[in-house]
Amino acid sequence: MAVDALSLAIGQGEIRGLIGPNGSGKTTTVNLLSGLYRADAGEIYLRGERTDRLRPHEIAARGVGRTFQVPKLFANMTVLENVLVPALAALDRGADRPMNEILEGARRLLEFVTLEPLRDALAKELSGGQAMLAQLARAFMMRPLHLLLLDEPFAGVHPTIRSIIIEAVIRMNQEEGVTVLVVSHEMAELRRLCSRVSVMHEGTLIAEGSLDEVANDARVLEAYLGR
Amino acid sequence: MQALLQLEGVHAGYVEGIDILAGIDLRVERGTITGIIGPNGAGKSTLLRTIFGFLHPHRGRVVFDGEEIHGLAPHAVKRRGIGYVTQGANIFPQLTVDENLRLGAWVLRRERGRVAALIDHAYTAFPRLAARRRMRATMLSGGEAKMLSLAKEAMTEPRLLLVDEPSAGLAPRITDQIYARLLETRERGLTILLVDQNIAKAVEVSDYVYLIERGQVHREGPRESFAPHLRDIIRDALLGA
Repeated sequence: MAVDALSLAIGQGEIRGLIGPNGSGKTTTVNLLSGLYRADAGEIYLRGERTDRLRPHEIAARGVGRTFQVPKLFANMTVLENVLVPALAALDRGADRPMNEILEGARRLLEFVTLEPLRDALAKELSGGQAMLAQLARAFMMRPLHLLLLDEPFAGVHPTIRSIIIEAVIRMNQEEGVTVLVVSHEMAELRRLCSRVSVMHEGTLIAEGSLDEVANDARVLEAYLGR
Repeated sequence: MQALLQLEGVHAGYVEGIDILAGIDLRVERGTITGIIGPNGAGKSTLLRTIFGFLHPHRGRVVFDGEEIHGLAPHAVKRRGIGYVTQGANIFPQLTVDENLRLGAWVLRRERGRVAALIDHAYTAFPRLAARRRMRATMLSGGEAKMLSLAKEAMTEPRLLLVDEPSAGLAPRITDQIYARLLETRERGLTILLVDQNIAKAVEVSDYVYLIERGQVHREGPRESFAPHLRDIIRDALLGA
């Protein structure tokens, strides 16, 4: 069992870190929240609505966006086309949004994450860090976007791009009120992003608090020791 | 005396401009277990991949038994006496346990007597494998598969064994058995360079320990100098210090 009786609550408008030793169930948690995996037991609520029986696209339509540790983009589509996908999916669901407004929104977001010069590049030509930024812009394109799930957004990413990611996420949080859950092993980056982290070990929550608090928690230290 | 393996100022990475290893200096003395610990993404596995020739450093030297080996292909590194037990189970799932061990000894295949003796020896060291010698490897448990990886890599009698995360995903009882085998292997004179997420266990079995962070040696010393400070080390890592 990768996630076993996990209870986790994230407040609206919060940026929360999720840390824990390898294999503690962090990515599985993100996969459960985004509907990629289905929980065997337990319940998940988003803004009061139960989502654990919904399919991934239904959860996305309710405002849950995500990125993947190994970027998942449509490799043979351009950066712009990738970013347009959520808006086109929304049109398909019956949303009423003029195309020129969608294109302008995508252009602004690409500028926001510094990818505008690469808008016509194929996704498969991007570096790992650029692909991470494209995933981020694609998630930002979602309307509504209530919860953003970031799985290891800094792994193998150049320091300059790390800073762009941090600034973009903080701005989306402050300006649009997007709630963020970020899984990461990069403590220096987490410190810049969030004031509170949750710690998982063997599929369950073992501590919660500021990084300083959890770094002094005996259970957390034992978990990282490998015991 | 010259160390069996020595790294001097090694820089390596997968993409231009991002060095996962950013100037590593490291020595592995003969007949010892040297442990590498460090947070995720510190470059531990990349270090082993670089030594084995999957990655070529763009700066620095890797010297094995007096010979520069950086720039050599993995098969050439292996011929010089380095074995590499990768993360997970590096075995042929559709072949039997016995066939896996024979393939491990492929380069010795003309020396039938020696191969037979090595296989006997593997079964003595891993009795669980002996009981499953005709079973397909895909039927093995995670712990047994890990034992087979170790036994298979030991077939060529390497002088240095690189071991990546031997305890990942295994139950504690199985982990203890794997570590017991590693210690026995050292008793037989083999040198081991070990990377492990299980910090407590890695420090317990290692003679000398390196803590690496962001591709550089952050701290090093004999086991005794590390063991009392493990919690402080983890705390510092969590604080991003």
